[in-house]
Amino acid sequence: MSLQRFTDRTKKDQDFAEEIESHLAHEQDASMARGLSPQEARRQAHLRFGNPRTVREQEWRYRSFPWFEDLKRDVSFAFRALRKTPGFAVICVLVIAVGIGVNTAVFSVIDTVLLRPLTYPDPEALVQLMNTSPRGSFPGANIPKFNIWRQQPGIFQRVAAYDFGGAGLNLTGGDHPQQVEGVHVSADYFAMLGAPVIAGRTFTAAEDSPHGGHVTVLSYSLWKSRYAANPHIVGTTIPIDGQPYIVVGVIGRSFVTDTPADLWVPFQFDLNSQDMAHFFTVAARLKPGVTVAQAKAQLRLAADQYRRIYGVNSLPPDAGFSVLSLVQSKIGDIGPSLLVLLGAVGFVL
Amino acid sequence: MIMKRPHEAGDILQGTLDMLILRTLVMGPAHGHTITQAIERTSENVLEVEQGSLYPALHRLEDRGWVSSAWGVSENNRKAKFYRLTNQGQKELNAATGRWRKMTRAIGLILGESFD
Repeated sequence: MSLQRFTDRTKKDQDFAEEIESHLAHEQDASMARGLSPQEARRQAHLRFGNPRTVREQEWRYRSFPWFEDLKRDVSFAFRALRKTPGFAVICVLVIAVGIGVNTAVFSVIDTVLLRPLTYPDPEALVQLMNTSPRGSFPGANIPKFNIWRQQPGIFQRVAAYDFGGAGLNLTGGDHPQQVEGVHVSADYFAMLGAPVIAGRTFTAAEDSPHGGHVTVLSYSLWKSRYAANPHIVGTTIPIDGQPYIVVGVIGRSFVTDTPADLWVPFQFDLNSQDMAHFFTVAARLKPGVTVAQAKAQLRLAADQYRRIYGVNSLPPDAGFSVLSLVQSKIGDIGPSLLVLLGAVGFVL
Repeated sequence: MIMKRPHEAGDILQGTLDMLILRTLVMGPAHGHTITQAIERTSENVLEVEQGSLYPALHRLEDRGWVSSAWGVSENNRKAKFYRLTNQGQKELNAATGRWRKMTRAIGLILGESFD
């Protein structure tokens, strides 16, 4: 297609107007030659030709890109309108900027919380052990509860206790001391969460017993940063809070926990303890095929058992035990509110 | 005297107007009004050129390079724009005429058979 069509539109339109005028004159001449009066001849010529303006407009459209012209007009109109009202323009820009920002922020929260809540294998089978009461349910456990839960037959593949770290542990030795986050766990913790062991092993049951010795498992980041990814770290001794600890294993990089841990040490519970203090949390992996409802039913029996042994004061009749899917416990009640929030900020844009 | 619009075959098929214009210009350069009259007279007033569509057609032909145009003075001593057939336009006319003959023959064959 020749681009000539789109060039020199104004000049061509002028030319066309003259050409039409010339045509009408010739038509008028012809009619006058047939004996019509000049006025009537002129009128007939116009009648035959139709509206010159319409024809010129058609020609003008033929020489333009309609959608492009319209877009140009719309954009220039928008700019003119915005320049006339600078205050409004600034508010518009701000609203759009804030809208984009808020949407991005809310979506990144939803992405981590709702779309990728747990990085462990088969996360649906993971549950958190809960205490129920008329006031609601909450996590937390003492040694007698942990002991009874892990002894329940048929529902749990593994049961593990863990805390959320504490004041931090002091790593001494080497060039500089370092304060690190140490999380206490029971022996089954890593196996329950399917943690990848990249060197050595995790804690044995013996190491997780009273007087099991000072042992620790390192996280990938600590191993990398403080020990330069030393492949012979397993079996060496590192000083933690002035005590020598034997490194028994290193966990892979992909293992992410709620409380970021630099290293782990075993609880070494005395399972015969009657200590009623709640100072840790318990989670479990359901046996394949066991549903949450079945686990809850079994835990009602466990509550009766606990009440018989430790007395009604330690567990009132309207209180009990339950489980909550770990995915659920992480999301909690905020799932729907997050979605509502996403919808709300979506409307800002 | 008012020219009556013919009752049959009045509208020129889309695309054939181009061919008719090119054919008319074979006789020599002409301006729009002459082209209109030539087509109407030669067709014995069967074909009537819609005047509003003649000029857009001429301009399209010019954009394609099949005709060229220049202002001049007409036989009535008036200013008029004259259109001239280019070599390219001559080639296009030959091709279009060939296509037209082929098609009318084909249509004629079909109509002839069905009327028998």
